[in-house]
Amino acid sequence: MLRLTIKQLAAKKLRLLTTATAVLLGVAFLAGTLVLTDTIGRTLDNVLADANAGTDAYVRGPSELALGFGEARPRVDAALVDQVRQADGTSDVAVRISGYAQLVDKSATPVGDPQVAPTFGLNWVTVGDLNPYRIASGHAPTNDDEIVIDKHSADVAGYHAGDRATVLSKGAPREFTISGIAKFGTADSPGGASAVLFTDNVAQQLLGEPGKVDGIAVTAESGTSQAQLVAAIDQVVGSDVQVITGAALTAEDQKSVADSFKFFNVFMLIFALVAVFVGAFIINNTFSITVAQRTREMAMLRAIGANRRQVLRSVLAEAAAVAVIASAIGLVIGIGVASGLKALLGSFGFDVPDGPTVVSGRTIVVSLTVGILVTLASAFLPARRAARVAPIEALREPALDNTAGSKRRAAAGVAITAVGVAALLAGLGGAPLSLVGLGAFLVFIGVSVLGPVLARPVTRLIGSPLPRTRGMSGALARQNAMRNPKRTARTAASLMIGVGLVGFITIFAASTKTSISSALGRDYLGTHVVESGAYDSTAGISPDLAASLRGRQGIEVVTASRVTRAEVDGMSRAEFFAFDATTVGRITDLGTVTGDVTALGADGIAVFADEATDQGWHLGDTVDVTFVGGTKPFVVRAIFDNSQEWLGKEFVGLDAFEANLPNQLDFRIYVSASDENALMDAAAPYPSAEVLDKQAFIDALNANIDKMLGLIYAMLALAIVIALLGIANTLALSIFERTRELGLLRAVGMAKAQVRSTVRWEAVLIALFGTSLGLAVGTFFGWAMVRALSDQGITELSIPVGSLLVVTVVAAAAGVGAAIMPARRAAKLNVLKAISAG
Amino acid sequence: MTTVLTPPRAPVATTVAAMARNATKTYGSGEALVRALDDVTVEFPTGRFTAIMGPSGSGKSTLMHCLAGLDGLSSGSVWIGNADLSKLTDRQLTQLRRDHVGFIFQAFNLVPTLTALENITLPSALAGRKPDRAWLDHVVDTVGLRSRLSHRPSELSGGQQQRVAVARALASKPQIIFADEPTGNLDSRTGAEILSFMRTAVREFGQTIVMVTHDPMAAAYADRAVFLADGRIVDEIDAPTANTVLDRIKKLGD
Repeated sequence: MLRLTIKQLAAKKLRLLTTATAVLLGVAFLAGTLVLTDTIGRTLDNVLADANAGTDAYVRGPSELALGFGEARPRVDAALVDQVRQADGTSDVAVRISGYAQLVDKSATPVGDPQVAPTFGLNWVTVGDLNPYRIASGHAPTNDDEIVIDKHSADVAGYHAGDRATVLSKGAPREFTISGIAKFGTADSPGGASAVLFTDNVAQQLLGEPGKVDGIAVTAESGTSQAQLVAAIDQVVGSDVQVITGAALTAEDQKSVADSFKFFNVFMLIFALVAVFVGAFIINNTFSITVAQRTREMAMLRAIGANRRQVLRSVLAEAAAVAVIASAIGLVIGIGVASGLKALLGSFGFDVPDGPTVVSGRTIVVSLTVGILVTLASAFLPARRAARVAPIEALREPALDNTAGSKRRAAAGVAITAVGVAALLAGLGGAPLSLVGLGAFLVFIGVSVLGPVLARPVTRLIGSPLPRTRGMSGALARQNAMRNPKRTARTAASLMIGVGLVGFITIFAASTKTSISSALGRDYLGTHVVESGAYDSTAGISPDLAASLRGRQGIEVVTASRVTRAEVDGMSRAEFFAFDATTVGRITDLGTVTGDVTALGADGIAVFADEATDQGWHLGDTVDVTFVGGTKPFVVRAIFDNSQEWLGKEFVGLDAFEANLPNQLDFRIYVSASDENALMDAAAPYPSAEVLDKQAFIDALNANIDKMLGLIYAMLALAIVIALLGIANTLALSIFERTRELGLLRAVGMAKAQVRSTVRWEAVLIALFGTSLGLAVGTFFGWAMVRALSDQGITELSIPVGSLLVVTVVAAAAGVGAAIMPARRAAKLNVLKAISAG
Repeated sequence: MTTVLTPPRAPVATTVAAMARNATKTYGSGEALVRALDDVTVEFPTGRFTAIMGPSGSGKSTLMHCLAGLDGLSSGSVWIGNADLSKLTDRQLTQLRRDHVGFIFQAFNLVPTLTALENITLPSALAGRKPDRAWLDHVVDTVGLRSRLSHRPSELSGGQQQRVAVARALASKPQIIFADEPTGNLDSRTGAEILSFMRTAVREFGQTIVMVTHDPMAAAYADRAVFLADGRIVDEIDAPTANTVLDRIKKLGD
């Protein structure tokens, strides 16, 4: 039997090629994703290890919250240094001060984008072992007018030692002399980040707080272990500070960075799995068709004595051979795909740090295992069908399966779809989020099971204009698309998945944009917004800007906002906002307010009405808010019922942040200005602050969504390409099967152009069938998502008919593309051979 | 799309519907050279039913394929009406077959996705023309398919399928019909029925039919039988009967 399998493989090269390509592309994408994420992970791990190299113990303030990388903890007293120095086993001691700093280039443009790689400031550590930076040219800062910048930033901005440069921070913009350019170890910069290094004194003023430091790094004397050093320091410092080993610090940094990349990794992995999933349909379809075409051969084998298990094994062995070879090649190609993905991300503005490519054992094992298992699983049902062929089939004319699917299939399809819908809605409704993925998966499977039941009526309907407009070619194309509903449905299913996701994301993005636009248009009372470009509390605009705007001629309302991570009554809030309590009610429509927003003070909280109802909070109740430095009771002083899209479920006044957070940077400044120039002039010294009028602000938010949408489209493109490959493959196999029929048609006078047209239109019908199923599924997903997020401000379901029409037209055109090769082959058919084929 | 496909010279009705002149067809070369047709010259008069007979490998199918424009010659020429097939492009040949040639094959005559009626009108549909309704009715009634027109091939018996094939060949009023073992897959009674239809078409409609067969009973329906052996015309008889044909085959075998 093995020899037969090998012969089969050799004989059907083309069929294998397409099946193998489907496996290969999926595995390559998967491997590429894994390689890329491992590479990014390893690169960042190394950067972080280097940053802490030499540190044996670290003394710092405690945190009440699990912080992201770079998020500030409460600072410790600089005087602590002297105590630490006394501890046994201490060799060298250096303070660390970090915070927001933004280098500005010669044309007053910020260097680096904090949304891509961090831009920050540090103190220049004079203890060589504790300073990962090495001067490449010039010298270390020797006085408060001097700074050192990293080589990457220097190269980007064209700065040299001796140049003057402006630096933005939480204080007023300030000019310094660049005394030196430094490398991070051997790299130009840690992961593309832009760093400005000051003297301790300036760092305390601009980055931290006078007299305070972020932490104290300590090296051990030889013979003292990190643990011993930590224990010794613990003896001399109070219990209100935390002492950890250098190893623990590095591990913690690595974990917090890895966590921040987790979303990205999962995001990439989802698309890789979609590609594999789509590939599975192609594999299943190809094996189904070839097994059907080889019914007689299987029956002959059974007739001459092969048992069922041998036939099953022979088909599975063929699948296994394809799987192993294709997965192995896919893995190798995946390494190249990783850099392609990196370039793709870069082209959408998501730069990832450079580093040596990492191909981990996990990548190899996961890619090969997924490739092989998915192929075998996809081939299993067709193989079992092959094994069930009765020996008598050898003597019969091969009956082609033109059944559309039984009531049982319809019932099963409806049931699976229903379970999927239920899981999806439950997942979106607050049950574990993984249920959403499972639900979506089941919906796709359920609709695929239903496919054969739908294929005939739907293709008949979609194809109804064809006989009139395309004559006999059109009529035959329509009949061909309808003649084998299972095959048409399986082929269309793979496209359905890709289009379903495209449709979903298109609708979701459109709904989000519409909701944002209409909510802002309706509720935002200001004329302008000053954007920081920051996305968390590690960056922002100096509060000096807002201060300079207040009371300025031509500027009526100024509402600064800040953001931090917090917990409200134990509930995690990744974005918890503070606003100018005195003006927030004038810049946005808060709806019906009970209580008084302007009276928030430093210990009052405003709560969105629905949230107050859900939590049972009333005016005057106390709600605990946990900041990084500790938990404080807040009194509910106002309940509002509008604008929560950008205010959040709860917010506090700026005074509350001043009292509780180590850093004060404005995230956005909402402004009502009758004189735009006054606003522009005031903002000019702060190049990182972008002044947008209301419409431009809406447009910028929409542009962010469009950017994400573009990336998602690009990532889904592969799934669509694989699906098109499937259409091409099915057509090629169908044409092979219809050789005699094509020969007959050619003999009785069908022109080559007509043959091509028939194949093409069949492809278009299959593509449109898949697309219409996909759009139906995608619309449902979009609706479900919008419904689930209505309390997060996505209130309007918007179905962008134009975009979806474009998707449909593109899918149909892609169907034509998929048909090019099969159509050419069908037209080239040797008529004589075809009609004499036996 | 079909209007642009006009051949330069549409075959006009002549007393000779088709002919081969010094037709030679070889395969391979050197030692392995096979002469499927060896300098064959033969005419098929209009309005007659000719049977081409011969043992397997005699070249009878090759002759038919070349006459029908499905295969090309190595040398010599074949004509349908006044059209020299060797001068036509593939596109023109296709159109010639569609508009002026009818086919009845041994098996697999019908497109499985089309109904009987659609199969019958297939050539005119491919040409984008409406079929001649009255003639179509006449043909359908002649072969007795009226009640089966909306059935698909899989719902028809083998005999019914061949009747559809005959109707298709007749429906476009072709210059000539080529039939390749049209009864080869049928039992003798059904086969006889098909052959009668073909003879009726010749007698009553003046249709020209060329039929390749190895069955003397089938050849007996023809007006004339041409015998091929080793790629050459070796004999021919007018008004053949099963017996005269059998005699002739026996003689050729000696």
